[in-house]
Amino acid sequence: MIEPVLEVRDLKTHFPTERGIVKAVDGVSFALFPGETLGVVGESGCGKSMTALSIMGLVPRPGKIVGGEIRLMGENLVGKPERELRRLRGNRMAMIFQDPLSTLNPVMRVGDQVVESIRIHYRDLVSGGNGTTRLPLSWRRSRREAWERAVALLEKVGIPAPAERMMAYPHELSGGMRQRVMIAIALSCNPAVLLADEPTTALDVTIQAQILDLMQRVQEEYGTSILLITHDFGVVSEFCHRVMVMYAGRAVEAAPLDELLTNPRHPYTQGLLDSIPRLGDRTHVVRPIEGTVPELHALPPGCPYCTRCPLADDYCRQVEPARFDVGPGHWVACHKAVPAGQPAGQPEEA
Amino acid sequence: MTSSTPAVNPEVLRRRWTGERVWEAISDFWRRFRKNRAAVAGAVVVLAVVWAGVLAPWLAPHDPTEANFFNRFRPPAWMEGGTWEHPLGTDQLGRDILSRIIWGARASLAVGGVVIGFATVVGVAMGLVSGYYGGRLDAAIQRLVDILLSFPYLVLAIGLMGVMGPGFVNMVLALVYKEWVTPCRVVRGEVLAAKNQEYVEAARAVGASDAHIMWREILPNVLSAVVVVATLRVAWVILMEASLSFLGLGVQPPTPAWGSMVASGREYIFQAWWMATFPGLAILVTVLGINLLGEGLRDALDPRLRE
Repeated sequence: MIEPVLEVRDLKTHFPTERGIVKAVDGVSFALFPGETLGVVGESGCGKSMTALSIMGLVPRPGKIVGGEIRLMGENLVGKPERELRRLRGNRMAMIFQDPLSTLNPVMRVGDQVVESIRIHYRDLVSGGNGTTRLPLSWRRSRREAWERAVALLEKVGIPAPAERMMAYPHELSGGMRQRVMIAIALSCNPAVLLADEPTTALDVTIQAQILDLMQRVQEEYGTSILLITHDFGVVSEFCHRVMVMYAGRAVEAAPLDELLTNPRHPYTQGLLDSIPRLGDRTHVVRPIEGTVPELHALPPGCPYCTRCPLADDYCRQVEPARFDVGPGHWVACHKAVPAGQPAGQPEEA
Repeated sequence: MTSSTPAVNPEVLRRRWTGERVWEAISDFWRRFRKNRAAVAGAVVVLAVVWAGVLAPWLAPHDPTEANFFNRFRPPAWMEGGTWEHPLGTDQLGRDILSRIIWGARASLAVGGVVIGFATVVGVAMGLVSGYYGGRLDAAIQRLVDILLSFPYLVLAIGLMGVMGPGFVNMVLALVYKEWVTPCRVVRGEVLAAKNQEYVEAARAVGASDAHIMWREILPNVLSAVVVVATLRVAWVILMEASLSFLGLGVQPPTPAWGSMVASGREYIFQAWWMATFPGLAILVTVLGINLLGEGLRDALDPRLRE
């Protein structure tokens, strides 16, 4: 049995607002195994990004993790003091954001930014990751080494003439180059888990493919586990090993990639797949899902999807569906996906 | 992962570790700065004033405190009765006005520089902390700023000088007492805008501490505003110094200062207009030059405004 690098159990991240508690993430559980890419798919506002931010411990105020466990290499991150989380961020887990222009500091040369991120964890790097040994090298030497390492990283992420690019400001680079720099920063301390929040959404399609290819190469080389957040099934099908579908702050279905694409069980997953136009197939009718995600502070008592689900009945509106295994590594939280005769609503272990 | 670091072109590292990069940045700055003619003119004026202040003992034709009662109220050289011995004339004690203006630059620059230096350090630190942490700390600091801002600058300075007594150190203290609020407010505002930027979140995501984010991520973004504000406020402080000296609270006679020169010239304005006019012009030109320089710096320093 392989231990997961990252295990999230019943994670709840809530935002108290004037109109009620917004349950941005409500009982999400999943595991991420070494060298694996897990795709997290869903519409805007379904809690994908908030799941990633919760893992990083960067939930914006007034949001708070109110329940559950996040185990990174066996260590529970929920309730950990900020100081210890800071040691893990960028070191064991790193994050790539959607817009590489706004995530790079506009007034710092990109080289300095890569160097900074290396230097933040330099102590951990020389002491083998446990952060206990005192830094044996002088400040200047560590800076110089960090600089050399940064050039090597930029080269690794496919930036031509990396040493010259170190001197460039973010606005002098193209979108693809900037995202490569962000990946270099994320990789600077060789993290076990990489959280990629829509890393290709702001990029051209051709650049998208290059960035995905780069991430794949990085994963093969370092065995990094990637949590890829996206709303693009094209990206998912190219890149992920497993997929988890989220809706209104909850995980509604998870399966290995091929299984999910060929045998989606949750009506929402089916709806998402049906709403993708297919190139060269004129007979395929694009069927969008009607309506929008319900307001998160006023969810219906039963299944969160019942307001838009074509199959929903009174039972769906009353009782929240529990997870139900429908195949190897494939589970779904839907009353209608359960074969007849089986008891529905029994909580299953993830 | 350190072992996988490939060889780095040594030429590039050499460039990085010599002064070449600094030189590059300076020439880059100069290339953008010189496009602004007015700013260059301002820089020339400021440099000239600094030069005059530093080299006063060698530049000034006369001792600024040497009185000559046979030579009182001599008009400027180009007027009837004037001599090139005293190009801008003499005052009621027969002292050379040009020499006094040159020496007076020292008082103005010293006060301007020292006050702005202290005020900027205090103000930037307070503004960063205030804007970054927000909440009660922010409220406390900003109410303090409000209180100080609600006093008229000159009245507060006069009051403080009245309590502490005249003199250079007291004048610096009296001006810093209020001057720090300006950089504090400016920095706080900029920090409020900057701290919600994604690069701050990205920095946090690589494990940066609050101090790191404040000093290394946000401060560089705020710095161009700080430089501009500091430059422009130097002009203001020089005016304040002149005002206090004019009122007899600042630099004490016989040390020459522009403000006290204007003050003493005021009494003789109908007899000897040059006594008040030339030091007044010195104040005007210096303040104008600093303002032009400040605006030029703003345009040239911000990497976001680059072509």
